[in-house]
Amino acid sequence: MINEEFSNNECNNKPKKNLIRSNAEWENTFNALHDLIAIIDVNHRIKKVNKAMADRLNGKPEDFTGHTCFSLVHGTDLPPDFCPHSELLEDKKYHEKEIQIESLNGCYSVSVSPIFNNNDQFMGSVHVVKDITERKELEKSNNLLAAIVESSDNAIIGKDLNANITSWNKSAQKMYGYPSDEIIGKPISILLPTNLENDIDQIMEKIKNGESLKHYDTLRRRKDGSLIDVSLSVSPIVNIYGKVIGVSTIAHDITERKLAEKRKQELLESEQLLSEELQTSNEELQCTTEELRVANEELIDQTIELRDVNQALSENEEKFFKVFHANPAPMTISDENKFIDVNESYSKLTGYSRDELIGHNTAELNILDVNEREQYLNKSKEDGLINDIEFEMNTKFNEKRIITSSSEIIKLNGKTRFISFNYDITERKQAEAELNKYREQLEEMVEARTFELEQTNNSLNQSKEHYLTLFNSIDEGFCTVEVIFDDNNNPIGYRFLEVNPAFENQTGLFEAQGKLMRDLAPDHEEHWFEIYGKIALTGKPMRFVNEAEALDRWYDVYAFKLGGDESREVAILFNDITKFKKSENALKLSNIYNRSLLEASLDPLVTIGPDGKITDVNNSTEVATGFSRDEIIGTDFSDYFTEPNKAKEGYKQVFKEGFVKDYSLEIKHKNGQLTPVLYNASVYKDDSNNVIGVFASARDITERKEAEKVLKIRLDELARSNAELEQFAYVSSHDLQEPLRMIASYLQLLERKYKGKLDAKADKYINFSVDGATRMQNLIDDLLAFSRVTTQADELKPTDLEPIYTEVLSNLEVLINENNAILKHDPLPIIIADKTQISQVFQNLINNAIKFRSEEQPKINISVTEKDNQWLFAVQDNGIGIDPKHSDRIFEVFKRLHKKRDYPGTGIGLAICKKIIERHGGLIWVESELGKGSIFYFTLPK
Amino acid sequence: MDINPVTILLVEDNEGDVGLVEEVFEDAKIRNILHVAEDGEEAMNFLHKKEPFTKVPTPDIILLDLNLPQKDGREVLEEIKTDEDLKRIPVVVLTTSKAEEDILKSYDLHANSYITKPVDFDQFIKVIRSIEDFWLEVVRLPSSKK
Repeated sequence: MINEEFSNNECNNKPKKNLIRSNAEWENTFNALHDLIAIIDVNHRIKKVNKAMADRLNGKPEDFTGHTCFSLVHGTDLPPDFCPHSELLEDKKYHEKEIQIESLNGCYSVSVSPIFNNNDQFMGSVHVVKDITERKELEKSNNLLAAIVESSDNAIIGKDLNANITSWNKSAQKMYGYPSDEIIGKPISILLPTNLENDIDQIMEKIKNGESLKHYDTLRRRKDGSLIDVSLSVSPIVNIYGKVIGVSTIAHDITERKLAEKRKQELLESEQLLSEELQTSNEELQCTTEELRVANEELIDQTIELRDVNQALSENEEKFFKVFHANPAPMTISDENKFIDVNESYSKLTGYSRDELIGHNTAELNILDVNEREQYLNKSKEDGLINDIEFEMNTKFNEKRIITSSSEIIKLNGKTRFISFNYDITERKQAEAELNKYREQLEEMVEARTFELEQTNNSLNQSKEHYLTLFNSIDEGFCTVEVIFDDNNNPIGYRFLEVNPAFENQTGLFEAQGKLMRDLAPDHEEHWFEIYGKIALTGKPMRFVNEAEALDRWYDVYAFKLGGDESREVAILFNDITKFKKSENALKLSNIYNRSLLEASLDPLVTIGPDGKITDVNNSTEVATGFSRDEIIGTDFSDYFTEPNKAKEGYKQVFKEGFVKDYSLEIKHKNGQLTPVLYNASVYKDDSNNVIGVFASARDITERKEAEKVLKIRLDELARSNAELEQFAYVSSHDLQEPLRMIASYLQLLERKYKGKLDAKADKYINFSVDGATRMQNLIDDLLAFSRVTTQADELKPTDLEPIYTEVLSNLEVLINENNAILKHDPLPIIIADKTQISQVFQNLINNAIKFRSEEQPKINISVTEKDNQWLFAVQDNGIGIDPKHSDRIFEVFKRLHKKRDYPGTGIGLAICKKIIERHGGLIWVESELGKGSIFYFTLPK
Repeated sequence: MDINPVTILLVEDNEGDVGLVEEVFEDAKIRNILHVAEDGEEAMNFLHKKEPFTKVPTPDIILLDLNLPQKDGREVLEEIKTDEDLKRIPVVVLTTSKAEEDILKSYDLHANSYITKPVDFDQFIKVIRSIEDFWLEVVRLPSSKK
């Protein structure tokens, strides 16, 4: 019967042959499907589920029939918004969704296909549900790791062993200017400055040998061509087998640090310059159903018995018309008005004696109601007889009895008499009433069971239809094969007997029916034959996951034997899981990759939950704390620092503000060793953008701290030496001058007193000596003035340059007039400066412009330009100019370009100008050519 | 009017300077007696007429160098200018220092003038002569020896 239905289906549906020979095989297959399958009607009610689904719901398949799927799975009164079945009810088309099912604690891919019966009537759907929780978890964990990598503010770059870029995070984009889609696949050398091209070969060589590179400070080139100072940590990326498969580079922008170092260096240099200058002699300084049927049959048997009893009763009634008195039936003979005779039975029936009854009628004795008696009498007279009239009578004892009475008019002794036959049917009536009641109940039950049976039959028939739809709608491949054995009963191949429509898709094999697997795929592995051979011989079904290399696919397979012992046929239900397997591998690989990036980081990295407990750490954290990863995870983040409260404040700040930068803490190692670190931390989020923790990376700044310490010592030394130099300068003013004065004075005194007594040569020698002593004194005075630029400085205040300029002109009045010099100037601004010193700069520059004049009339122009955050001053003259090769030298102490005789002076003026401008945070330089005048530029911050 | 010789106290430790000053005053127009104290202690003893200066006169003018052994010239200046008996005596600071702080300090302590010793001997002579001209001829000094 079932198979006939399928034969019908065969005409309509695709399978050319009936794949399944018995209902049991259908069930077997249905329940063997690894996927969770449910057949749902148009009212969302479950018609059937397979074993996998029932197991998942913790019950037997029959437990769920009739329930709505939403109440069962989602615990709701209505279908949820995302119900794919609701959508299918709308359009009767295939739908697929990924749904998070709370009650099943996981994530599932649900696909629904419509079912139509033979009359093309829409019946409901087949749900195929796949558990994708593991994949989702993997994706989540991978996303999480990727988010961490992405959120790091170090540039994290992955490379393959050919030094081509394979990954590139946001910070890398920020740091180098290249968007990831532009740079991935390019060689890393794109980032190298021209002079560092060999740099990468050396690094790659080290990595291939399994070595790491820590805090390697170098230069890299940005997209715009500019260079950036970076500190690189380069480590090998190792796959699950320990083989080096790539390189991870973590780059940290150290531009600021370098700048700071440079400034410090400059500071050191300038201090050193001073020291050198002043101490040419002093010299040294240094920088995430069966029972019901039985019951039913029993009920029917009872019903038949009751009918037999009824008939027997009717036959008994007929025996009462023969003997009146001897008759056990109550009989009466009466005329119209009174009883003529009654038999004993009647007397017994009524309770009255025979004498009491004769001569009276029923009404007088109140056996019958007057009207009722009249009615019967009239009916007897008219009809001649009455039959089986049922009435209710009263006995002498006032009992109510139900009587069935038949009377006939007879001629008795020539007189018209009524003979009546009465039968007490009270008990029978009662029994009948009960029986009727029972029969009714029974009939109802029979009716109900019959209905149920019909229903069950219907649904069984429908199930067959469902199965077929199922096998046409499922993606899983199904086929039956005949395993072929050699003489030694070793399986050597198999022939396809039948295949379902999905088979081609699942295997890539076309028109396989009737063919040998070996012919279709010559390289198909032996172990497949062995497995099916074993099933065909033992009859034990098997489920397994295996790779078919010849088909380049992975399969999830359930195979079972078909037919009796001698049969060598096996049914195979299988699913191509290559895609899943590949994405699983890809995800695993990606996980390993991200993890190794984090592990490769030489900076200690931690993730912290909202409760302040550490959720994960990398190897560097183990090294820094001396505790293993297992020991650390779950403990309080703050436990590992010298200042736990400050550490707590730190991560709380991250949860509050989203990040912290350069948060200074000190990691405490198990052995007491302390590591000063700067933490950069940011929150990380799950797929739904909820904050789930903090990712913190620490940078060991021990070296930097030490460098700072050294620098501080150096600065202190310099300050001390500066103080000494000041003292020295002061002392120079006295103690060096005193002897000079003596020399000069006494020579002169000598000259005065002995004039004429010495020769002309002696007078000349005395002149040279006095001149030398005078110059020596000027040098000492200028050196003193130079040192006083820093030692005797006033604070920097807003200063109006106009009055200062006026004063300078007035100081130089004589010189200006003597040389007939023309001076022009832009309106001068108010600047922040030391008034005395800035005045000296103008004075020295203008003085030089006039002093080094050419033949032409000296023309001096002073211009001012506002630039960004500074003023740019230019003092331009038309003097003799300076050869550009000397443009730096002229700012040095006591450097002169001309003979003293031509241009007097010690050569300290420009050195003092430079020192003053630098003290004000500006720069001074000259642009000039010999014979074309000079422009002295200097800048001052606004 | 009989002109008594002017009494000058030169506080100077440098013999060379002493020699130069003596040289100039030898040729001075007015009669003068130059006394020399070689350190601050000695100068104060001289002014307070302590041994061995019990018999010396109170000077009409004091030429004071700032850098002196033992008691420094600044201390000497302070003591003189806070001493009721001595504060009226003009004190001319005659030193090699051109330092602003020395100049300010000296005037704060009520020095009457501050002169830097020139290197050039001719200049030196000019300076001493101008002291002589100004303090000994132009200015009227309180008479100490009346």
